Amino acid sequence: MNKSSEQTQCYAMQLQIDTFLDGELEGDQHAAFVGHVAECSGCAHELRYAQNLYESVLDLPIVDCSDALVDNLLAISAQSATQRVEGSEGASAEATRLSPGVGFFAQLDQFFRDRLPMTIGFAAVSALVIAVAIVMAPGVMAPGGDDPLQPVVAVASSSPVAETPPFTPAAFDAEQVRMALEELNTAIDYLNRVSQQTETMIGERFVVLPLQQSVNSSLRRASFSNNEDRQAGPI
Amino acid sequence: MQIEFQQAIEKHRQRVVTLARYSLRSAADADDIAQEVFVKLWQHWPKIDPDKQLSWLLRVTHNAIIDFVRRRKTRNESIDEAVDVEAQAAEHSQFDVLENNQLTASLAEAIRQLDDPFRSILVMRDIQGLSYADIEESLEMNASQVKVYLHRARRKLRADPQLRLRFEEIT
Repeated sequence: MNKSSEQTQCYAMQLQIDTFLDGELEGDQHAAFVGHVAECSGCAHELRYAQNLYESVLDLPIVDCSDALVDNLLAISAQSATQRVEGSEGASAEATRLSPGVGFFAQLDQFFRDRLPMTIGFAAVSALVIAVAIVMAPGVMAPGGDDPLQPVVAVASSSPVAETPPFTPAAFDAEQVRMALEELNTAIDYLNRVSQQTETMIGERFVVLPLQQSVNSSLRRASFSNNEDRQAGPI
Repeated sequence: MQIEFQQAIEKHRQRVVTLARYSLRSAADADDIAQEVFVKLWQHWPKIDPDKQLSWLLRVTHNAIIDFVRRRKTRNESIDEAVDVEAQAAEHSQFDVLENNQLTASLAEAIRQLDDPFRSILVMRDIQGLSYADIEESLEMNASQVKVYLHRARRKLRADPQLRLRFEEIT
């Protein structure tokens, strides 16, 4: 056998060392490998080295981490678990507050939360509620005009206050009033929520309450001649 | 859930830390990797099949090590790192299980020099004694790929001249 073919054979045998060490060399291949190693001192030397190295690697120690690390992990998980519980309670409370019926105002709420600073959102919604209250207060509407939304200020400029005729209940039917009340209640609910969030910003003062009382008073003053029950919500 | 998490840490901590420790020179870095991996386990706890926890942990550890090495390379800290390694080696030599024996230290260093996935497969199979099935699942490879990588890893190790010299001195 010439030197070149010997080298080729040695190379092929050395490629099988790991399969041999794993005990996966079988049959003719195993016999050929063992036979070659018995005759070839170079391959025998390589096999001894591979076996020593392999056994040394198998004997390498398993490493562990410190108990402090485990304590730290457990502390992180405990803290996180507490936050999860609080978070789920908060989410259910939020779901309760955004109960059905809010609809448009819930979306408005979300819009203000996402896009505008809280103070601007609060001001905008306050303006909206005041506008609704003005529309709803029939006593301050222009009497019997073509435009029922025209405010009293415009009327006052053209006619004396003493000549202001009494409120005519027929200006709005009961269904319109009921719907408007619903809208107003929803708006005030929203305001309550916004004000609770704003409380800390404005020195713990519950600013919506006077506004709500004012709206209620104005509605009480309004002539609601048929004395229809006002059962809808905080108003 | 926390009790199960604690049990999982106790059960798998050595696997995770060993893989990290034979991949990174610094024991502190290996601990950081272990912490990162177990925090991820906690974050993904509900989604992980308990039967596949080990393979999940090993896969995440393997990926975290690759990311760590990549980050360190991009920070181009080779000079500082060399200084750090010497300092850390001195610092840990008193108590680090991988540094208290010259042969063990040389072997560990030679293993760290291997590229991935050779290093991870060698550590998982030959040091930790994991089954081929666990390694396949961890590294998302098939059995023949794992064996090919393992044998090549051993051959690479044998080809390390300093290691060979060390062994010839002993024998």
